[in-house]
Amino acid sequence: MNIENEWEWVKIPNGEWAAVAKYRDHKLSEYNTNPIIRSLPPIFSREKFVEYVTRLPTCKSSERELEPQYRFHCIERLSRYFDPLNKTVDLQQVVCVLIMQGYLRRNPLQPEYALRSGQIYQAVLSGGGFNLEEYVDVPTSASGLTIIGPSGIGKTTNLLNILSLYPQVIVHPAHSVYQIVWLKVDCPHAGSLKGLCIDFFRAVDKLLGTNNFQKFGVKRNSEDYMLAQVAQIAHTQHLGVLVIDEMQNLVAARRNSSEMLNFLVKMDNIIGVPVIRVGTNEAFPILQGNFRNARRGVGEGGVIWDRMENNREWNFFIEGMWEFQWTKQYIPLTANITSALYYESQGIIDIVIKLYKMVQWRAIALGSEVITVDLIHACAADGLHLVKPMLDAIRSGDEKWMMKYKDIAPLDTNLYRNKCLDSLEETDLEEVRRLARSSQRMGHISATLRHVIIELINLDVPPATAKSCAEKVVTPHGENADKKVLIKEAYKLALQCGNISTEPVQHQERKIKLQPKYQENDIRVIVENAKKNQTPACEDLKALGIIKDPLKDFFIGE
Amino acid sequence: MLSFFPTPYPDEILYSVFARYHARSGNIKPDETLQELFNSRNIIVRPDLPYNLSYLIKNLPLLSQHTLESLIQKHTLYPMYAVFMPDSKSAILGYMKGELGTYIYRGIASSVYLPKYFRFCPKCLFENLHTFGEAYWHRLHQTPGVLVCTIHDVVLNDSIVPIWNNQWYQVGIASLENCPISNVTKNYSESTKELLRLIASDIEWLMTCDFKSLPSKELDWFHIQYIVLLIKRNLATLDRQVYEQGLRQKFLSFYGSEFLEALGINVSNNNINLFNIFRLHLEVFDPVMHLLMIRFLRHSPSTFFARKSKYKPFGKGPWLCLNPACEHYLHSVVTKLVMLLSNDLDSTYSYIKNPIGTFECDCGFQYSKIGVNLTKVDKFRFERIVTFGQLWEQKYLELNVVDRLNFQQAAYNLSFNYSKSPMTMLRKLEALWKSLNDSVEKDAG
Repeated sequence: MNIENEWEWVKIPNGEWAAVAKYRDHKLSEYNTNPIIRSLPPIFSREKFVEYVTRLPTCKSSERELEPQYRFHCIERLSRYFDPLNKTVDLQQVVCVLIMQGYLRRNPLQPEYALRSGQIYQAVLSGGGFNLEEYVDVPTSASGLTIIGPSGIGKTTNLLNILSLYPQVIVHPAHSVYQIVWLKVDCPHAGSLKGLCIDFFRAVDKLLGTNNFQKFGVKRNSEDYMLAQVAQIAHTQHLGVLVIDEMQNLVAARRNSSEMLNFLVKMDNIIGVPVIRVGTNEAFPILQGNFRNARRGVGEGGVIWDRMENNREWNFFIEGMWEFQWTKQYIPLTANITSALYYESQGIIDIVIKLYKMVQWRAIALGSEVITVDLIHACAADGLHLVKPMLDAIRSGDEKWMMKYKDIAPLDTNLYRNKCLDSLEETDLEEVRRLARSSQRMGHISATLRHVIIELINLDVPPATAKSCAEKVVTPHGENADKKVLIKEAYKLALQCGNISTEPVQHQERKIKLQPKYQENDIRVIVENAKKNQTPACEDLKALGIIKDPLKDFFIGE
Repeated sequence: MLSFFPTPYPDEILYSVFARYHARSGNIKPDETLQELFNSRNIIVRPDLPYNLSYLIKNLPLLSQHTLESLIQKHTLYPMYAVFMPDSKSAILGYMKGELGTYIYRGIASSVYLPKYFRFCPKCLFENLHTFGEAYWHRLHQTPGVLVCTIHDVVLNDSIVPIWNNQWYQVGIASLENCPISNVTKNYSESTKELLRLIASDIEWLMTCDFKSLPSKELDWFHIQYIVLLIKRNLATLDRQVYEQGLRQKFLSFYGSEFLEALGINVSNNNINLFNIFRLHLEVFDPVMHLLMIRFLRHSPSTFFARKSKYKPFGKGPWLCLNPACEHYLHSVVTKLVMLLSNDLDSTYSYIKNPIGTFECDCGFQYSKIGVNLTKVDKFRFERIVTFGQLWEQKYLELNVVDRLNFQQAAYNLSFNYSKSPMTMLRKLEALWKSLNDSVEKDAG
């Protein structure tokens, strides 16, 4: 299956091919008022997604008979092999939600869009890219995602394959705009924000044939200014999701990495463009360092990808890959081979595919044309010697050793999670949840209804009765009726119900006075008694030794 | 190549769309935006008639649905002028498309007075902020002659943004800052308000009607319609002389001085250009004056533009037969009148200035006439005898050679002997006929 046939394509001068928008109605009504979402492909079921995304190389049995040099070319097809894993399917759903939700409040037909656009321009004019929040106050609906995992396990490959289901650029003839559905930028090596902005401008220019780099990417422009421009472009071109790959580069950054992390948070918090941060294990500490980021990253939408384990999924994956064999003699897969492959690759997909290629080359080159377990080990020893130390470290399970290779350093998520929870003060958490809950509940009750209920409760109507009476009155009258009339009617209704105690309850409560528990020599008792007897309280207190006799202080010398 | 172009809001002036593009593109320098939009850094962005628009259309994102015509028709002041300047219509359109952009300053468009400041309707402003998230300059509100909002029936306010300025990229977007809402609004009397509403809705009709449905009118068409209507009201004569003095007074009493002052129209005698719109060779004109005149002549623009009056310098037929040989001599029996049309003549509009008609009676006698009948005896006037007709020819054939030559000489003299008095001419014609008859009798005798 190929998504390319489902679109009509036009070539942007100096840019890439763009798909012509076709508007479809999604099953969820909230998406159907926004042309930017309506132009996206439908939400795929898991089956459909797997069908679309799987990339199998062509492999005919007749090709096994070809001369060796041709088969070398055939084997190279394996580098484009893509077989979605279970977590790919999960990731796809997360990404799909991310993109659609991110667009939800960036609807070009709604006033918020133009308002935000104007506000970002104010930030551009004053060069306020770092503190966008001072300029922009329109609510957004985007959230971020962080993917962390050792290198070579296919984070980027999976993500790009998922994103390939979306046309990268969609042209909207009715709105005269190019929509960039996704954009991937690598985190610059020095970790500089300017570098990131420049890469962003370049990437957009490459797609749309614009000259943003020339206009805004001049070195002498301030970082602040460039950041604001990035925000404006992302907003104007309806950027669906921004992928920042190689986040681990930030570790080597000369400057504090928090500036970039902060900016990325602002991109989704303030501009509303979802950001996916991808990095190897090395990036973990810096994402942890900034708590706000960490919570956003792993707490809300975080995926930690680890090496595959030697289990059923591994077997399934190897089974799928094994089909593509170009040796003259087809060797069926055995359990020994599977575990040998696992031993040599330690569940790193990139390595296992490379190894499989090498094994085939070797078998063909040797002329034996037979793949054996020994051959696998031999190839690994020869071909993987560069990564051998790392693989050895993984194999040993020795964490200290693994730490040497930051890419593959193990992640201690438990420790991390506890740290997060500690940092969030419990009361704060409760407060946040309570607020969320009440605002949800209030959402169902209109302002008028709430007003009437509160007034009734003030008139000593029990809350339950107040609510039912208010609802009975407000519903037929509508929202815009005079509140005073509504309250009167509702109160009348409540009186007819007879549930109201004629005796005001509050009054009784007020009469009851607190009976304090007095201790022995309680100052309160002493003072009250003194008041009753009309004597100075200080005498009694002095007698009990609670206060010192001031005169005595003066005659200490005697 | 643009990567986006803001969708114009309803009745938004292009000036404001450009400013919105500037902000959304993130450009700081205006010339960068101009380069992107128009491929030129030295363009002056006019609020009324922007130019170089064909470059803009080429630069729009692929498959964009904007067309040059729809942008000009819906988002510039062009339709307001276009209806009344048929000759220069295509020229102006050409300027706007951009072949000779700067020339738009010269000629007709230069003489139309725009308001000093951008105008806005406070209610529209708030509604726009609410529905679109930003406000913009409405085209109709900047149109000369419109002083009230046709949607909200509110008197328009002046913003603090001068309409002629070079800061389009800053002030092109209306906002609460540049649209202060003054507490003092102009108070017009009820009758003036009524008229302001009327004229505003007329202008709105002109601006929004499909200009393809309005057949192209030439200047002489306007001239003739005005003259015909004025003649009906005894404010002009058949030879197109307008009684300006009387017209001024009636015009003033029809509209009232408050209304005319609000629109800035000076009806005093000093203003000799007041009724320029009646001139045939129009170079300077005011579309508002056209609309006021149309209403003054008791028409709505739609009925006015549907008029089909033709220029009839010789009045209605039948006309007199001037053939002394004919039994209908000096009777109104001639129904056949041939007039030369505008395109038959060398100089423009000479068919109006110098109408020539050829009258043909059933008896075959044809005479031609130049100019309208001004005096009572003018109806007997003729300039030339085109054909004498069969009655004369019969007699002529009976003549001997000498008499034929004599007659030809006499007839030739008569044909080109322009006499000031029509009666003398007629008498000469009668005498000629008589001499022809006499000669024939003499020959016979």
